[in-house]
Amino acid sequence: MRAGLDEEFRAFMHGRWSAMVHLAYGLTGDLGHAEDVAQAAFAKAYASWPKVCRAGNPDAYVRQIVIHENLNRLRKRRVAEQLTDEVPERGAFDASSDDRPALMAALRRLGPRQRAVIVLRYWLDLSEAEIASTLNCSVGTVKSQASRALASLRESGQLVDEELR
Amino acid sequence: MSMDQLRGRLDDAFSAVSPVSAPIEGAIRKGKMIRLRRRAVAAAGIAAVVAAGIFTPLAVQWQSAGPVTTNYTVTVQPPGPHSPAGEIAWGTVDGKTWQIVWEKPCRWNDEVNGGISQCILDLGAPFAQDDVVEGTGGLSLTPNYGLSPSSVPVNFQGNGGGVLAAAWVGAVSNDVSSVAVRLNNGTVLTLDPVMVHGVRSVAFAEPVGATIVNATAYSQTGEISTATPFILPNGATIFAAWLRPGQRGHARVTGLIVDDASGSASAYLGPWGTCIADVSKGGSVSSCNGHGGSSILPWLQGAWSGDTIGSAPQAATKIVFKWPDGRTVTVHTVAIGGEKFFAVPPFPKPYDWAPWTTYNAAGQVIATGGHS
Repeated sequence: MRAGLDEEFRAFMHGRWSAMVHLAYGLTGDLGHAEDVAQAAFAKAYASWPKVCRAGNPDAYVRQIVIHENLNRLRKRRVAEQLTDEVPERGAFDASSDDRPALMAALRRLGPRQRAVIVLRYWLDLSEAEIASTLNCSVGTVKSQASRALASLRESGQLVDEELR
Repeated sequence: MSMDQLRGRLDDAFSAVSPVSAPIEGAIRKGKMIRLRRRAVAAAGIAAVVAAGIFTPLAVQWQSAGPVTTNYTVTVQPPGPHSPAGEIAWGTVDGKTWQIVWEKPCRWNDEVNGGISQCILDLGAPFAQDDVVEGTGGLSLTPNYGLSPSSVPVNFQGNGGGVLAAAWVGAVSNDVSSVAVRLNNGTVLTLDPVMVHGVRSVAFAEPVGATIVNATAYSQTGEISTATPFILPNGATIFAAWLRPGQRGHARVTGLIVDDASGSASAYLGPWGTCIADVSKGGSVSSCNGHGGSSILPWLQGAWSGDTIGSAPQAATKIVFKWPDGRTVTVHTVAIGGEKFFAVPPFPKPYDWAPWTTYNAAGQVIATGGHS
């Protein structure tokens, strides 16, 4: 790959690494897994970087890979092609806000797709149609998953209002 | 609670963790490895087709490790008049219906896996969403990838490993009229190729706990060839070599290529062909393809050690790598089942490969390469 593209990739990854790890953290509930998923996604993006650039929206591209890397990771139960050659050192968790662990615990209790719907809908603010396309399912499925996920969060005490449906 | 409030709480929760600094060089190194492996697999496939006509690029299903069982029933049927568009096959596993549908257009992983068009398949209703892990088993199908009627009759691609069933699909060459898949409880699934999106395709579901004994491709006049898959200790199943009637495959030999504190990798030779696998520490990587021939060939990067593992010419006893920083690294080849393998430590970042020279036992240079 020519040097200019490499530099583009470096700049892109430098700028978007944290955001992708935070997305993956929302999906996995585990920082270590999140970093693994994000790194694998960036590696795949690099492997196809000229095409990714031509497509014009690398952020959406990597986000898509992150989401599916996580779903694949869970589906396969084992990491089939774990290219990570070292375990990165752990980041620190800022526990200054007490309800964060409770919210994360409630999210972890959701199914992976329900969790993905919550993250994509209520954190990334994607439309139901965009989520359906991303998760390769119908809009109706997105709605039902969201509804069940919100109900579950209410049961856990993480949602105390009836406004969100 | 409003949507904004929930967003704020999610934002708080997610941003509370501090990731390590972006491992940019690591991602680049792995990305290059992905590209290198694609090229290596493609090159090996092409070379092997010319040389022996028996090897196929990686065709693998990863499934959760679990007890092997013979206590299951599975059936397969071709699409019927009421089947949805894109259906390749349907059937039952323990009385529950499965169907495998090739959806168009590609939705998310187009160009992600090798720049080759891949599409999602749906292992769908009436399995309940929770019956199959993730509800729909996303499968990757690589139409016509490396296919040639004279070499690989069925390019099986598998995925899944859900609660009830994993699923296999295969692009089928034109001379194949049917494919018989034998499972470990004696079940023989007969697959009839159907044309889906311009590709002759077959598909079947494999119950979890089942193992595939072999698959045979038939033409109108008889058997074309049979593939015995390689099955890793963790249950991963790989179709590699297809042997014609009377053709002898490798004897079953397993040997250690490298074993150190950070991981180990072994070569597995058998009727499936030649496979290298690193199953260290619960993770795994593996690759099956043709022999490297006259040049050394990196097959995979170890899951944990980062070692690059590959094959070398039979006469090679050592390989000397000249790293970009001027250092030289000498590795000795390991003979397993008449083939030679090697493992070389991770190259200095950000390099994935380096110029090399192979030597025979007399110290004579056999070949050089690796100059990009």
